[in-house]
Amino acid sequence: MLTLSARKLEGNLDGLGRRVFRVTERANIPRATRNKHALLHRDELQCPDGFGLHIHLAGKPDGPRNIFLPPAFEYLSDGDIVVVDEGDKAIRTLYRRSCRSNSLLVTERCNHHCIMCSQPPRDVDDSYIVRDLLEAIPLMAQDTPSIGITGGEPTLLGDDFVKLLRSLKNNLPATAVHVLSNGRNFRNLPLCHAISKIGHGDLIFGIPIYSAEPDRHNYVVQAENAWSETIEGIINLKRFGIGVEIRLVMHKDTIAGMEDLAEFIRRNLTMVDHVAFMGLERMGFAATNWKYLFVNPRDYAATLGRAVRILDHAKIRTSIYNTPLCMLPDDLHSFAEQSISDWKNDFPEECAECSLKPRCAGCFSSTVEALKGLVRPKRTQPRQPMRKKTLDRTASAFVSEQAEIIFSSGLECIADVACGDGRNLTPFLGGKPKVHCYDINVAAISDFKSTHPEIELLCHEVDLLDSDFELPQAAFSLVILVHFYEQNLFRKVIGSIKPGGILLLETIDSHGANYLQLPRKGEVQAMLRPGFEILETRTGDIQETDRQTVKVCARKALAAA
Amino acid sequence: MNALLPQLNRAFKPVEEFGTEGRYSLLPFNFSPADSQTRDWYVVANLCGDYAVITRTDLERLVDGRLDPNEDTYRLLRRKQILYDNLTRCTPTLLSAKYRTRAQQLANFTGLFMFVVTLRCNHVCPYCQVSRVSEDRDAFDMTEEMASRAVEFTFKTPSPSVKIEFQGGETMLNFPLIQFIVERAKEENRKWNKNLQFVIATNLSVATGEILDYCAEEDILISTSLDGPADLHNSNRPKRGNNSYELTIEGITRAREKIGFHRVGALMTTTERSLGRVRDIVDTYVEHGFHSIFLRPLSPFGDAVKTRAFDKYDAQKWIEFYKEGVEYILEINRGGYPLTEAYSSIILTKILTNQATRFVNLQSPAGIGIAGIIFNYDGDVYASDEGRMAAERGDKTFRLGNVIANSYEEIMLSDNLLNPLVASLPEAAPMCSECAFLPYCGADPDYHHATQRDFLGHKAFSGFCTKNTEVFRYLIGKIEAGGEDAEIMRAWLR
Amino acid sequence: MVRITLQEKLYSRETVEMSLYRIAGKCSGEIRSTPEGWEVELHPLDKGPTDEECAHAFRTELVDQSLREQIGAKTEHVKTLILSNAFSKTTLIPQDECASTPT
Repeated sequence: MLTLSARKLEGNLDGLGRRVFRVTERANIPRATRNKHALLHRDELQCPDGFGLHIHLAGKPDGPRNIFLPPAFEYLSDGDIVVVDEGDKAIRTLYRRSCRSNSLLVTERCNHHCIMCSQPPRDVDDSYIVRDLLEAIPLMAQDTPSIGITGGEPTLLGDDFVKLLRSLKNNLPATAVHVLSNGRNFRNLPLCHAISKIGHGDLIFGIPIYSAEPDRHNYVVQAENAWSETIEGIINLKRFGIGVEIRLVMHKDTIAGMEDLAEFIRRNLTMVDHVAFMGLERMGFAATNWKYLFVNPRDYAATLGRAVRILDHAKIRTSIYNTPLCMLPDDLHSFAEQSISDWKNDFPEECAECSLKPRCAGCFSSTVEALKGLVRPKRTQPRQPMRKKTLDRTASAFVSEQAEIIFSSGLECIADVACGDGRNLTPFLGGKPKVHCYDINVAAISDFKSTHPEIELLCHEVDLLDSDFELPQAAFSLVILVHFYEQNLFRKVIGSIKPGGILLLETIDSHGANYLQLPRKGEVQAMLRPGFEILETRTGDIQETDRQTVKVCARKALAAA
Repeated sequence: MNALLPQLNRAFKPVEEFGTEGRYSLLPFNFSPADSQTRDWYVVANLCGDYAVITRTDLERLVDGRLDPNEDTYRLLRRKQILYDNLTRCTPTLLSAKYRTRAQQLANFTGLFMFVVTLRCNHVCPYCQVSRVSEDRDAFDMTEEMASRAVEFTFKTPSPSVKIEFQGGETMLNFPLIQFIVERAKEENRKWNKNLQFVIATNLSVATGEILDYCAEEDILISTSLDGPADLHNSNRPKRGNNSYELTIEGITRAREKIGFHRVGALMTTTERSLGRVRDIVDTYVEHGFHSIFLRPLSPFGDAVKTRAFDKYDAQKWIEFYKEGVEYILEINRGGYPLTEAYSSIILTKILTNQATRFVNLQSPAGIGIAGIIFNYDGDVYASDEGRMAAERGDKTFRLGNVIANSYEEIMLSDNLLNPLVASLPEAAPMCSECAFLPYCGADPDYHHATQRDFLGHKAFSGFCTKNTEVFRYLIGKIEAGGEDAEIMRAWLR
Repeated sequence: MVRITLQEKLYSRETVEMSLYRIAGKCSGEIRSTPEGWEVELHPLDKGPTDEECAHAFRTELVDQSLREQIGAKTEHVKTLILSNAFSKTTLIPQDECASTPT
């Protein structure tokens, strides 16, 4: 995460006051423009004259108009814009030329107090911010693709807000502008009219609605009348032909109502230009309330999918922001965007080898810890070979051994979960059991059917990690789970075994970072203790981790008399 | 409260503090039984068609002001804009905005223009009232002068989209005139730059390679008749040689090759013989690779005008045909073959959205003239295709004038257009104005004139009403039941 | 034929007439004003329902119609507001604060 501001710095800023500068690394720009520029020194100490300020990343020469910055500011480069304050000896980076979408904070005041606000409001007079920005905008690069306006609530600035928009239109006519606002002040027609008169060609307001239920929305934003006024504001903006995007931050108090909200938008706000479903950032109040608010994205992926499809079928443009691809089912990947600002975008280390990483939003710097154990990097090679090399595949050594102990002719109905090409079923076919196979890809088992035509084989193409995936209760005399483990799935597997039935579990061998897919030490044993008799167990602890490989053959107790 | 569960920081107020005052106001709404047999459940719907299904008891409590804000029913009715309270003061404004959207299509005015280029035909279909003439008679073709005037008339519409549909007889027997009209229309459109679309309704029996090439060049869509499997299709469409089905399939195949697979559409005519054969009909469409099928209503026009008793009886039989058809089509979709049922798609669009459907037979006010209009082979202008067919039976009630003898204003302001429009308006009609399904329904003065000799019709006797009511109830039931069927149907929305 | 007497203060003439209109497919009806209230005579149509069924159908419609009358009365004002606002060029009920007219 980048450092954008610092105070109480060393240097000599006498007589500077508070000023905005464009950063340059070129010492020989024309004299006439030097006053607006701050010359960035990475090592060169010589200070040509005429510059409004000299910024030093190394060395501390004497003389006026010098400021010394720590290494955290090494990212500064040509075209960036900073504001420097003599009184505070402070610097703040307002704009970075290399950034895809710069965000301009225009005020910290707000009329809402959202329970997950990443920028908690402060009731202070920060009108100096607008002054800084009005100075900075004319210095921004003409080819800036887009600018974001955030706060607080930008419309609280009244006329100053209109001034900012006008300045953006006049100075950066080719730049798209995206403003985050709660929309309530657009109930005032004069404000809408003033904005419309600016005639900005590419302006959109991102306005949150957290629920179709007004009381739940008002609770999330902690303000009375919010829902009704926000909607009136949206209607007005659309009547003036101004762009509107509806945003929803997904957390414990908004997830349950997502589908109803999608339906409400579909029916009542069809004319909006975009709808964005957003993953939670762990900053501000969201950090304070993290344990309460955070929900594993995989747990709400199903309802998110339904909500997205409600809007998509109605031809409303919809996106999913701030959510890693591995937490979304494949059919939602086309809606996911790489939405996190580069300066706070991060990936857990296990994502390094993931084949989807180039397209993935990853995490916020603030949420990497929380999502670390939950991501599922996609191996670049398939887990099982897609094309069989020979017809003759054998079960794993452990499975083959256990098959000799298990009385296989008594098996009427068996299941192989994460079956791959079905090789682990081969020792158990003597009694012609009915076989159920579960895997995300059932193409690999198609050859099994042709080599064993006498076996009744039912294939289920499913995402085993989907929380909605269920196995039938007490249905199988044998369940095989080889080379695929996840705690919730294992729980479902246990439940699907008949009393007296057998469980055969073999986790992957450990190598590299895959230990995260292994059970924690003792986890499997604890889950089997009530109700299973362990026939054979072999474990291998992974050094310096809390994980272990597990091979176990266990029999479920017959029902109590 | 479980002390082990994480809590929101105490600085924040809990959701209970944001509840409603408790009093609520009603918004304008209608109600109708959700089921034809019992009166336990009602559909309540506001003037934009937002609906909810509630019990009779809840309906009475709703009107009495006795609903409790903590009930799920209260939240449902608030979300669906049947009631509003201090938290949802924006609702009347939302309703105005939506109502305006729904009414927008009226302002676009006439969008469909049918040109009967000839009455000559090479088939003798029993239900067809118009094409009684053999292949040899030129006196039954539209002239170039009439066609020219009709094209001028067409472009007087304010609609940004214009669809020109060629009808007959067998249209391709007068192909030169089709070409003439296409050229004139394109020329006229250079001034207006409207979204211009051409469709030829044809049995494809005389579609030569040259004709199909022309259709490909000019982006003309083809609409042909496919009533079902061979025996059904042939019995509906007798032809010398009794090979109508083979010719149709052959024609479809050739047309697809020349102009593109998805530019060839098929429509069925539903006759008495079709009822009971819906699965066969659907199978025929699937067999020939269609992904859309239109389970069209029975026409009350035909060899004999139906009496009141027959009218409702036929409506019941058609409902069974339709439901069986839709259930079978859903089964086919669940099996992985995408197949849209076009009639359901239109009705669902009316129920679930505020979008226009341009389906002229179910609009309010009626679609006659103001949504679609037809120029007959003799230059006479009729308010609807049914109206021109009635004229062939001797009933000129819906004749609006002649495209050569009368001006645009004389035609569009004629009594024969305005009287049925006004008389049939559902919003002003008994029963209709109070029906929950009003926003989804429409007027059909042709139908009620044919069956009851009255533009409005008494809906207690109307097969049109019975049929539509059943379709609305059925589709609402499917959407409310949720699950895979509801998802499949939502994908059918336009 | 079946005869039903209704209290005039409970049911308006329109309510009774609309109920008769709705069941016209089952039976024809006549309404008379008498000192005891509305007197309604129902005649089942040929080969149609029984007297019982007619009376039941009529009473069911009567209750529904009565409810409709109440809803109409309670929502007349807001309905006018909604419809007039839908077709005006201004926005927001009750009034706009600015002379400019958006699309």
